[in-house]
Amino acid sequence: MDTLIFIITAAIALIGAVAMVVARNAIHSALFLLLNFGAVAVLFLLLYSPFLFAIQLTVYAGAIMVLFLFVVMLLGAERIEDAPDQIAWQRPLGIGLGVVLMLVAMATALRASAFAPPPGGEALATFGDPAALAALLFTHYLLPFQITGIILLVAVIGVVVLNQRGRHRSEEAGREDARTRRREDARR
Amino acid sequence: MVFQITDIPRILPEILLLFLAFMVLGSDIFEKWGRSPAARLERARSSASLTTIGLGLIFVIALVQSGYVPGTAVAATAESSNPLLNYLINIVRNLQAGGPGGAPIIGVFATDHLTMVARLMLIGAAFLTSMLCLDYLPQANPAEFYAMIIFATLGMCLMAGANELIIAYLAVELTSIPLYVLAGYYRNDTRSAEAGMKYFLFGAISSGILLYGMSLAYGFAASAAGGMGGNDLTQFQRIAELARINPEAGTGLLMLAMIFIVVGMGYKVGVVPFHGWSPDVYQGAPTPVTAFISTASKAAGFILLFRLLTVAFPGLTGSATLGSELGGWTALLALLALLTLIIGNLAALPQTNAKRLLAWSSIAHAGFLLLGLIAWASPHGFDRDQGTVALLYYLVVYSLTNVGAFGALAAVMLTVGGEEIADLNGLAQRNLLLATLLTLCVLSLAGIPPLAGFFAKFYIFMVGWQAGAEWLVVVAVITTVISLYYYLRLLKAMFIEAPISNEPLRAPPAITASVSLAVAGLIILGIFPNLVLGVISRVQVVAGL
Repeated sequence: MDTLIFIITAAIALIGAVAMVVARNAIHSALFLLLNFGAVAVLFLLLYSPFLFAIQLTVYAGAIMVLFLFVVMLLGAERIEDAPDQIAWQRPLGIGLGVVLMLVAMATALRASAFAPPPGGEALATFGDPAALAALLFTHYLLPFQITGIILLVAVIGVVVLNQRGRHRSEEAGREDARTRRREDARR
Repeated sequence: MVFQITDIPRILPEILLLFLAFMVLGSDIFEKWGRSPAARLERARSSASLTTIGLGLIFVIALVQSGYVPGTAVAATAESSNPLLNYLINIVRNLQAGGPGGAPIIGVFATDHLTMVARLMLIGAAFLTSMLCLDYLPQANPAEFYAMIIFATLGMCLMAGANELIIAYLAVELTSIPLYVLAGYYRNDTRSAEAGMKYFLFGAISSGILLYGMSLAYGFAASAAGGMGGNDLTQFQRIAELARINPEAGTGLLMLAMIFIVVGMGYKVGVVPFHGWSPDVYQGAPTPVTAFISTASKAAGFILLFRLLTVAFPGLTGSATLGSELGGWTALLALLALLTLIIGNLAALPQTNAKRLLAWSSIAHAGFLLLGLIAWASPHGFDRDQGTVALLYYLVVYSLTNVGAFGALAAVMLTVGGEEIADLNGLAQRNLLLATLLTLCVLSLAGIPPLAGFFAKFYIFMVGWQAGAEWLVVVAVITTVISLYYYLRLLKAMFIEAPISNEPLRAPPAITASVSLAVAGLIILGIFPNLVLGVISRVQVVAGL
């Protein structure tokens, strides 16, 4: 049963990924990516990671996907212009490297050691359980968890600060004044 | 191990820094957001003063907590008949309950003497920097500017105490992200924007390299523990312990991890050949920010590097003696120090921009600082401890000097309008006090007695020599002599060249006060080095060693 579900979801994930790359319409691309995300979420469930499954759906398929669609529609970039590639060798190189990456990945997966049981034995029954994860985050990993929160806050503030455009012209103009004054001084 | 309620006083300075940052951000909302220059000046000034006062208070609290000031250490049984005094005694006693010592918090955050000394140094540097900003007054989003300084200080304090890979990495990020924003703060100024962008790109790459090294170290620990490990596999001591128990488990892997970590941290502290970003960033960033990046961020980087290398990789220490078999991280650092000393000092020679010249000089100083780490090549515990003490003493002195030097340049920038060496021409005739202060800082950087820079250099050469890296000390002495040339160029401009105009300069008061504080520290530490050496020599007990 597991194998059957795996084959079906893996096929959907692959189709979604390939279709996302080939689709000419950006909106279609985004929707195919959504299909891929959903299939990958089911794969996580097959690996006994209910938490990752939920996160994948809410964060990737939910929040990030909406953001993508929002940006695409905001820019009005639904249709790719049918202009020829600026860099002619880009496509063959990309395909070549992709094939190499796939061969390496397959070689790694098919090595004999890949089928050996994991060194630490089977995972605990609570592995990937949201409750166990939350308990760890609020006990052993309390400090890193809090620091991550502060980092995100700092990043948000930084974006707000750096995104101010031309509203405080006078100050930089003051600096520029100082520059010209200095240049004039030097000339004298 | 879990977080105990008694752990809160132990991270009190960090918590207070976080609160101060929120206070600065929050209080800005209640200011008058006028468009007139007077209103904007007022708004900037209130954020600046709040930050300066807050950082000063936190510095005092950290100082009392550490118990380093003679007479402030309160005994557990101390009592007084005066109720008010008793109240004070109780407060201090509760503060000092979180003083140096004890096992690391949850096993991940050490509050040993190293953290305490580092905290004082970093918060002190942030305090002096915010005093510089009192005159510099960035008026676009003032609260965010100062909050960024405080957040970066928080990250640096965490870097100094990090005893585990995850915290170490997050602390590095928490330090770097605000500094990227600060470097690019004058967004409409092309140099500042360039500085922010360059710093960000280099910082992102170095974070990636550092993280890769850390993941290799974790991979080593997890495979050496054979699946029996718990949640402590990222702790520095645990990695060292696993490497000791299984000497065959993968020295190559651990060596690779160590090299990646040294390279990643090398970018952060700006040693050659990972220095490419620093001249441009130092030149483009607002001058007080340059002072902050070149001192506090470098000091925190060195302390984290020290802790990582000595606690997590003691088995790979190796040797830096020429002729013996070179190997381990001391040899790697010796190679970096050699490159840094030569390239840093030679590249400073032809500079015409004073800020850029000081940037190259601070790269060269990173080379001297590496000597303190190389002292670990010595097999004797005594020499290693001396190396730690010399490293910290050098860091304290270097931080004071560079804040002073960049602060004086900020004053010149504000009054004359530029940072070229030519802008310093005849400064002695226009403002003798400013010229004297800058001169003292520059002389201390060059290592002229009786200023503290001389003793710091002497001490670090001594420990390098004893550790067996004589060849490196010889190079360091030669490059010190070379460095005199470019330092004296600054003095020549100030005292000998004719001024552009004879109009006297009015030095900004807060910058003068901040630089004066730094210079007073330099003179006092130069004449009485024992004042801090006594405190720093307690650092020998580092958690997990």
